Amino acid sequence: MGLGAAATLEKRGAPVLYELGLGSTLSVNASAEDAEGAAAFIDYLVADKKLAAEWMAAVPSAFNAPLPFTESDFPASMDPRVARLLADLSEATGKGNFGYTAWTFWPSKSDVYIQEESQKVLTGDITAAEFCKGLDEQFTEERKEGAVPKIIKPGGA
Amino acid sequence: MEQSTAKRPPAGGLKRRRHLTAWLFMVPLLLVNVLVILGPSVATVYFSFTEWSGIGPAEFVGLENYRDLLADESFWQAMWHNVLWTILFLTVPIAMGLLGAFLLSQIRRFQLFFSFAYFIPYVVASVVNCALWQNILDPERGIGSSLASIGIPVLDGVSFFGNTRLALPSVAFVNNWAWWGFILLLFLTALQSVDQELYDAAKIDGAGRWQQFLNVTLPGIRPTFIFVVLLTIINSLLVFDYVFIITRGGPAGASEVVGTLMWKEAFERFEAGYASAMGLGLSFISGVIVLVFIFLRRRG
Repeated sequence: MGLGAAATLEKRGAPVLYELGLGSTLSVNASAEDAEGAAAFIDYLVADKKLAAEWMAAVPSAFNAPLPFTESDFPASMDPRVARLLADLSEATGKGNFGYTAWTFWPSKSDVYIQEESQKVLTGDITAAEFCKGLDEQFTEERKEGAVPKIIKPGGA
Repeated sequence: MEQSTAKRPPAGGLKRRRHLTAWLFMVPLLLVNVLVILGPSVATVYFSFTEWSGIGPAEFVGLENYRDLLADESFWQAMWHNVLWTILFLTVPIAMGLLGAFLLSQIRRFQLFFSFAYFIPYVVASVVNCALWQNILDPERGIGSSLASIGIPVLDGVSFFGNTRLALPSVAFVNNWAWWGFILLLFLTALQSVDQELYDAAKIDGAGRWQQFLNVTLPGIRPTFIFVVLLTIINSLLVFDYVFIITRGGPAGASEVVGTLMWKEAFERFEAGYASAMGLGLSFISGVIVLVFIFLRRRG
């Protein structure tokens, strides 16, 4: 559940799209052998808000429980700027205003395509239109294979 | 006499026992090799005929991966980079190693010191070497901007690892920096075993330094030279760490080699079956190159 920078594409006046994306999701695989056990572990991670806040303070940015935090929820040992950032992030994501990080919300081949081929757009080896066409083809193929992760709807949708 | 003959084990039995002892000593290593080399190799051959994500069941697809590989431009571009890398490493570090070893063989004082100094980068972890050179060649805070600050702007703003033309040779330069000291040491050891009398005889025959090098030194170190060439070819085709650490094959695939491409296929795109076919393709091409080299060597 790390954090990563993501470009905002929102126009002025639109709801704030937080310039950070959640780097992973907490979910149970449909074919998990012990789905109940996995669900119980997720419950354990998020059930105790105070404990989750302490984990977040102990391992900054690596562990972020998807709970509605305010600054006062975090222990005093946490840098107040980090506490403010996490509280803001919590509020924004609570409204559904979060970035769609490619490594979380795109299937793996499309994610690699974005990383590799976007460089070729910058070097002029391919055009932006060719990039988008290739990405569309790759994404369509992966969607047919059922490899696209579940997309969480943004705020207001 | 009869008593003595009866006590001594038969010659054939002694030989068998010695063979058995030798095999017993080799068994542990053999078991490890079966576990870490033969097993994964056989598995790679199998998976190369399947569509497999790396986890879960694999679906048999016959030769499809190999057909895709033949038509894969990325693979051939990466292979071309491996060939360029091989050519570079067959020339620059070998020439530097030979020259360095020859010069060091001419001195007695500080020979060990210089050998050690040149060898140090080889024993330093590749990640450390890479981090050092990433900082030295950084366009913002590296040697280019430092030179610019004293009025020599020739390298100012040059992004050695971010420029599509410079990325591959720049990474090769860093790898070479760590590699050539090892080659130097091999050549120096070989040079020291060349009979001094041969040089004396060549001098009497009127041979100059260059002729001595061509007619005495090179033939004298021929086995080492061939070993170094083979080692270079194999290492160049398998290159991975320096490219992966510094550029990850970028920018825009400009420094992509088969090793890094294979890694991306297996662990980023989750096409482990296709990556297996790629690995076998590389092994096949490497095998052909090495066999051609051995064939040419035997023909003199």
